Amino acid sequence: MKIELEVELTDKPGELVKCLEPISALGGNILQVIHHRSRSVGKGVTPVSIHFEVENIDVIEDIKNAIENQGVHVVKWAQEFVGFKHVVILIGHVFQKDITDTIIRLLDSGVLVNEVNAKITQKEDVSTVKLSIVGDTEQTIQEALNLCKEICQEKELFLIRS
Amino acid sequence: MNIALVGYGSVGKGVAQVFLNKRDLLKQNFELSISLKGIFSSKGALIDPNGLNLESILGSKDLTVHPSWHQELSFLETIDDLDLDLVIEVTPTNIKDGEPGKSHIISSIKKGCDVVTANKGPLVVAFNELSQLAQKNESILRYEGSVGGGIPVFNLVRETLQGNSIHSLSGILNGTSNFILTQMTYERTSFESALKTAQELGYAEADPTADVEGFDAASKTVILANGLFGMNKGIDDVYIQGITKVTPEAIELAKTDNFVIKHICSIEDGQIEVAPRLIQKTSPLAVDGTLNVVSLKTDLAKEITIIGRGAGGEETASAILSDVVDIHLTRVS
Repeated sequence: MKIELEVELTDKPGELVKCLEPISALGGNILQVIHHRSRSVGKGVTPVSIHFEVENIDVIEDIKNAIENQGVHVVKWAQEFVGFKHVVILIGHVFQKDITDTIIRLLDSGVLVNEVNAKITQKEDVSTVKLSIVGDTEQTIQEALNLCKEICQEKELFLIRS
Repeated sequence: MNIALVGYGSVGKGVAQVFLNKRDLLKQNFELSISLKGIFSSKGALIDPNGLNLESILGSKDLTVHPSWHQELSFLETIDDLDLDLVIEVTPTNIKDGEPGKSHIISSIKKGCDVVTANKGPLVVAFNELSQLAQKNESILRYEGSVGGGIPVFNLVRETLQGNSIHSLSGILNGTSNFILTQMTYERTSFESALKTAQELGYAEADPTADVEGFDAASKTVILANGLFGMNKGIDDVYIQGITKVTPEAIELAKTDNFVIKHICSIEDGQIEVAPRLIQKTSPLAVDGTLNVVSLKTDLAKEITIIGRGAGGEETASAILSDVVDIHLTRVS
């Protein structure tokens, strides 16, 4: 996962190392460091962007804490989401069978339902609903898909998955 | 090679035609001379111990007036009298008990004949029983035509992927359901309307249940599971969902994410499934019309996909002919 970090550093030796050392010590790979000298925010304070990547996403919070513990002011922390996305389509009385409950149960399994699209036909009040599901790992997604299958059996909905 | 052809529907006729058309090629390329001793239909049989004249049979509209015709004579009554090397079993599929094909195959193997079949029924209900019986009697049992018509999936694995482990398989094994979903995708029609078009064009039968509910595809997937993965599965082990509940709205929603909906057969982690799935438009599985496709994931060759015509007399006859030639070459060597 790639992360863009922006900090405000005073212009004196050793300030940048306060940021780079925790990243490197916790396994991060530093890709780029940019000093935004034209955007100086005060006397001797410069915004600095640091781009780095980590393989183990569990260390991200530790890196952020370690930098802040050095007394560095973190202005921006942007994480690129590199997860797994699957799409499912539910057909039937999706709304009458409590779509909120369906989505909450999926969320509780550890995935994010980040898009819901629906088309409703007059014919027997049948609705067709597309859910986009994203998760950190393929296993998380697989568990969510299995749960989706169970929910559809329970609510008598027809499931089409990717 | 003395052969009996059991079953004379579109596939049986296709086989007879191909034997006639390819007679010179088979002699020239493989030193294979085929003598068809008997052709058996549900009403009777054409028998000639010296070999049937295929020109006259294929040119005849009514077999019952042919000089070699024997009314109501069955294969099982005749097998002892014919000096057969190989039996081609192409009677209609019956996935409940596999009959009459199962009895035809068992009797042939017990007589020491090699067997080539495109009949799914016996393979779905008794795959391991038939394979073990063939092994015990040193007969060769081949069934390339039973899955995917002209797609050579078993031959591909047996002859060109030796040493590979197959991790999983996915594909489309029913041309009718694929045609219907393709119509729904590009013509934006309902399932009912697409089915009607398929029936008008002769792609779907008057009773389309086996195709649209997934039973035909499930039968083929069972044969693949047993034949390629060494499983011992039956039709009840397959999770089956048909395509009748796929709505035009589902097709349209799928398009917004560059998906198409396809009736996919899959074998993965010991699970066998036939169900509508969302497939990326750019996937090799996204074949249209009546085409079939099989994609294998292997450890060495990685992903291999073959696409072809899944049904039709001539296409299935192609698979049967390749099995006959393969058996001939095996026996000669």
